Amino acid sequence: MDMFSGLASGFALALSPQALMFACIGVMIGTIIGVLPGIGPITAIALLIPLSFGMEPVHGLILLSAIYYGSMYGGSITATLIRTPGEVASVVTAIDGYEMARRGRAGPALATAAVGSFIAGTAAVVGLMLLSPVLVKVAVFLGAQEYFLLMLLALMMASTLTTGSRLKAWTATLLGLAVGVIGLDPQTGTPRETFGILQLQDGIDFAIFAMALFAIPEAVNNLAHRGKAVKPMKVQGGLWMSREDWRRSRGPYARGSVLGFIIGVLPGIGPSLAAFMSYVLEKRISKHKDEFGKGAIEGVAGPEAANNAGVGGAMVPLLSLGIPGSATTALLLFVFMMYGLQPGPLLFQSNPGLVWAIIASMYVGNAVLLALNLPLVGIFIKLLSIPTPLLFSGVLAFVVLGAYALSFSLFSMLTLLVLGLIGFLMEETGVPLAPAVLALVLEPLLETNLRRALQISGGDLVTFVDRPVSLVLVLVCAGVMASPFISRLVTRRQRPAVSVSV
Amino acid sequence: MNDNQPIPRDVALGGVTGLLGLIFVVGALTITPDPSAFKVLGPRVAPLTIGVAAVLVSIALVVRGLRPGSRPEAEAAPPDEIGTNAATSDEADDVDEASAGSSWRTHRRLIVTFGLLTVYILVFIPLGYVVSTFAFLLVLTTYTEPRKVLRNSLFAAAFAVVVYLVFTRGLQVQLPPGLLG
Repeated sequence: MDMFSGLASGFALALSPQALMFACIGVMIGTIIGVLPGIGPITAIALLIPLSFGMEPVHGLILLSAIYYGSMYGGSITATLIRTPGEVASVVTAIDGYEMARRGRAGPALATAAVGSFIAGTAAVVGLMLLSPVLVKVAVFLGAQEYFLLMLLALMMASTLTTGSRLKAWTATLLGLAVGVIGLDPQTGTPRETFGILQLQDGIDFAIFAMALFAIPEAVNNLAHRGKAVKPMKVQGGLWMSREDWRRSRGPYARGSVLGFIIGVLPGIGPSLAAFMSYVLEKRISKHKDEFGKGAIEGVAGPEAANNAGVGGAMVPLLSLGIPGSATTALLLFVFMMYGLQPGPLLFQSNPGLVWAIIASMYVGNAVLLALNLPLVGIFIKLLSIPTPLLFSGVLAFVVLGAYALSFSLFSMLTLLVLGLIGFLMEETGVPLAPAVLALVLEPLLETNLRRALQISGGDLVTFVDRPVSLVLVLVCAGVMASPFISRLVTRRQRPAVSVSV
Repeated sequence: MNDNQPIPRDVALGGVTGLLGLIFVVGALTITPDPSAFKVLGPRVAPLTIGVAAVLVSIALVVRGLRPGSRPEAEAAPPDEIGTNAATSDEADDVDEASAGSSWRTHRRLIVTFGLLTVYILVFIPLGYVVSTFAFLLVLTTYTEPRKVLRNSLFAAAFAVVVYLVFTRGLQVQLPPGLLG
């Protein structure tokens, strides 16, 4: 079986001292950054892209992937101890995790999050390993039409199945698309939306966009409100889970892993919705419904498992089709391209060593995460006592440096500033940032595939419905667009059972 | 989120989106397609579509924002109640500092912070990394926390020097030497 030999060679690479070191460093840095209030995985990766410039692609990618799941776990720590989730995926952890911490059960809350993350993360890597080669084989039958529709579907899902206002999610998506258009038309070389500014012809760098949107508003807000020092909950009592905790966590782990993986694979949804849906599911089937919102361990175990399984799931379309399903995987796609690699079916053929090394390093990273995080949780909490002014002025200085290092010009720093202002206004008005990042990465891919499809068909739109796969995708897209109206009809009949309140 | 605001946030957001959308439409119309080659989908189509869509979304935002008694945030967004990043602390602050004076103070801090960031970016290359970063961090931290000047200057100096050395020596990324070069 070539999968096993691939995996074996991947492990050989991932367990080499250097790769192992980068996985450990990545998990550590990721957790540290994830613990810092208000800084989530996207900011963590965007901030650290400059660090990976000079590295070997394998090491750079292992480092950044490790930062990704490290920061996911870091976010759960702050969600539990100060009720400040680093990103959307750990929002639900902030409900029951924080309540458990308030009742002196911070230890078990963190432990179940770590164990759940480990189990689900590992299960998801197995899923990724089994599913990716299948998708690679299927990919041969996908034409430009299907690629275009899949990406369109990712955008639609990201804008429609959002946890907030749909209209605002669409605003964000359009912003990302608009920024993606700026620059030279990839096919004709015509300058578009550059308004005569020469530097805009190169387009706006994705990393600058991500840093500006995610780091600047957060930092400026915290500095302006002079964030009062947060007092984290003390981790008192036993760190470990009791037998009862284990018994109650088992089910949520399993359900969360499966649910999270499936949702992660679907385009455009990503781990955040996985965590949310897992919470709703656990609450609905629980025997202790009344405990939810008051420190139910299931409310931590399920969502944490789901969001980490979602991370593995989101890697499936990225690695096998080259389609990012979420903002974070969009960022990873950017990193691949920065190294001159195009993820997708061809990468499996041309550079299988790299792909399998990344997959193997995810196993390693999950193990490192579990081994490091529980014993070190006390140290991570200390990070919360870094004074806000120092932390966030440092973040500002660091993003400016990152923007400079991307093109060594004043222009890129000014771009950062302008986009930072836009990001700030988005945060103020409740516009989600993630769809914008996804849209920016998808814009050129969407346009290229649409053009290719139409050129093959001679401009005939029928090409999108006369192939079975694309016809199905068109119908799914239509369904997603119609879903808000349908669900409104349904909810009008019956009050939603879904209500999460603090 | 506040009902007593002069302009509802959705309306303001819709206005800005609409303006940007219009600029984009104008920009799209000034694109001159290259007539020499056969193109199914010219360079104009994508920007024009996006611009028009933005204008449509902006209209929807304004309409929704003006609808009396509409609480759009609450209707579709259960997790928003917890908020992600700063939202929790923001809301706590809003409760703490309900008076208009402190809200003005926050606005002033926002403006000063963005101003300092702008100045930092402008002097980054001429003054060099170490000098400009030290000055930026010192001024910004001291503005936010005036009583701890010593700690702030130590932090600013250490940050500037360590990052400079890590990037220029360790990662081989050249940073502007400026005054010290």
